[in-house]
Amino acid sequence: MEDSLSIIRSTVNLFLFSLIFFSFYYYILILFIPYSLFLHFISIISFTLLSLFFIFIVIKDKIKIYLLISFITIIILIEELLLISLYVMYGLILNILLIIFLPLFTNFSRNKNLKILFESVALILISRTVLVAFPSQFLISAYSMIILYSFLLITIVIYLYIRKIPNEDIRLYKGNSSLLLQIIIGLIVGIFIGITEYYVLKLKITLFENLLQVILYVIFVMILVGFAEEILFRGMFQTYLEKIIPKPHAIFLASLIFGLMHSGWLNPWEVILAYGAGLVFGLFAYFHDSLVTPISAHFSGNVTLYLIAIFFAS
Amino acid sequence: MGYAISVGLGFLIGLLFRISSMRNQIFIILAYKGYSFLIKNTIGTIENLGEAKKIEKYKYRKIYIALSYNILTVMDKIRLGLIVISIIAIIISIFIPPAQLVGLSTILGSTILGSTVLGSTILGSTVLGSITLTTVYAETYYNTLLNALYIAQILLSITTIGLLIYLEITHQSYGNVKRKYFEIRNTLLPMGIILALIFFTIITLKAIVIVTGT
Repeated sequence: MEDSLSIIRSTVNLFLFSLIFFSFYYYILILFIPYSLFLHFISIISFTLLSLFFIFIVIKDKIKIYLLISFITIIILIEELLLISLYVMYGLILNILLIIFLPLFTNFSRNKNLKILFESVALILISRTVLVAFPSQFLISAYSMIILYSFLLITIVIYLYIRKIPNEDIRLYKGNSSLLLQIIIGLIVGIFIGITEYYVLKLKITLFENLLQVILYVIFVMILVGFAEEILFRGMFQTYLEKIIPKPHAIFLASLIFGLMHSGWLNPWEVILAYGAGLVFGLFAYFHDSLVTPISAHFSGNVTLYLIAIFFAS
Repeated sequence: MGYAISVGLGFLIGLLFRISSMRNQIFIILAYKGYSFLIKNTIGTIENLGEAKKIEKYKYRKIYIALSYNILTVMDKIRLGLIVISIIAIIISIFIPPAQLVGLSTILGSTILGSTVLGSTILGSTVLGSITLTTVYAETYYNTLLNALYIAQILLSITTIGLLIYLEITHQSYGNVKRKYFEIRNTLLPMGIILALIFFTIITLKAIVIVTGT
């Protein structure tokens, strides 16, 4: 019990320290820089560096591993920022090169967990590369996300099959608590996250022509999104990182990268919200030793956000 | 498996893109590799049957003999079939007119952003002092993105072809491979297959676009 509390305390402390310092910094920043893409970039870069700084303050050993993970985080940060800038071409090139070279880095190590960790980062980057495969007329359609996320799930399944990783190793099983309880907790937590996310994004969606489209979109997409992203971030990245560094740090870093992958919304507070939500999902994944709660919460959060954005946004 | 992917890939590339001499070289290399691999397997099997001397002088009839003895495995037959297909592909691709590369265009990042941009023309938000971007940026960005995706497609294709050739030539069935190269092969295998899947999707969708003209 004490161990569990200390894990929660350490993880949340790290997040709060980063958040508080960032908030001060951000409100000083907006005094000098007008709302722009530049401000968005500066904010995300600052928040990432601040978070990494706090991690380096508390670590005691394995500095090389932390440096390696920080390097990955910064590379992902650069890649994501390039993707949303007018230098998107370099972002895509970096993305493809990283998919090849990140796994190759692990050839210098005999650590199997490190190998899978790097490969999971490459898989996370694949989530961007899959877009390259589809023509624009297809992607504009409301159903494109169903295909994209199905495609991503297929790549994850292929990877797990080739590496012969059992479901239990990525927490894709019932875990140590009641299944029903995990689902209920997940759904409730997700609703809160979804409402908060709506107030951050003020999203309004008018893509749909009829109710059938809405139902198809919301149900299928959000199930697929929940599964794909949770397997990647919590199931693979966080789980294998936990085997290398202390658990609070693993949860914290996995959430940081999860937040960075939300830079495309062009809203720094969405990055931080995703970061916080990632921490909650990560803690649930750790304590239940299962992805059921994170997947349910992710599903419920996205469904709440989209339903508000479709039906209630003015 | 690796060879099957490589030749199938070569066939599709040749048929759809006509990358002139480079395409033919890839075909010839793959066809030769597959052929020599097949010959090696066949000889091994035939030697076991004590037939080696009889066919020694008829090198190019070995496959025919192997087929008539019915000693090829299913995989060998698939390889043989793919070699034939790739040869046909070379011939066909010489005669068909070159197809136009259809520019790829997608929406970046997450399609969620795309749906926000294209669906409701809202970019960013004004909550908590976040960013409001003009539609001018969205338009500029979208145009840049179209070009970027086109280049990324080409890069991905070249990378995947390179990866598949590497995975193929470092396969142990072609003979001893240095441990270092074999380890790299094992490391690259999952991503190679996933990239090949994406590449096949690009090719298939391009074929659909070309055939249907949409």
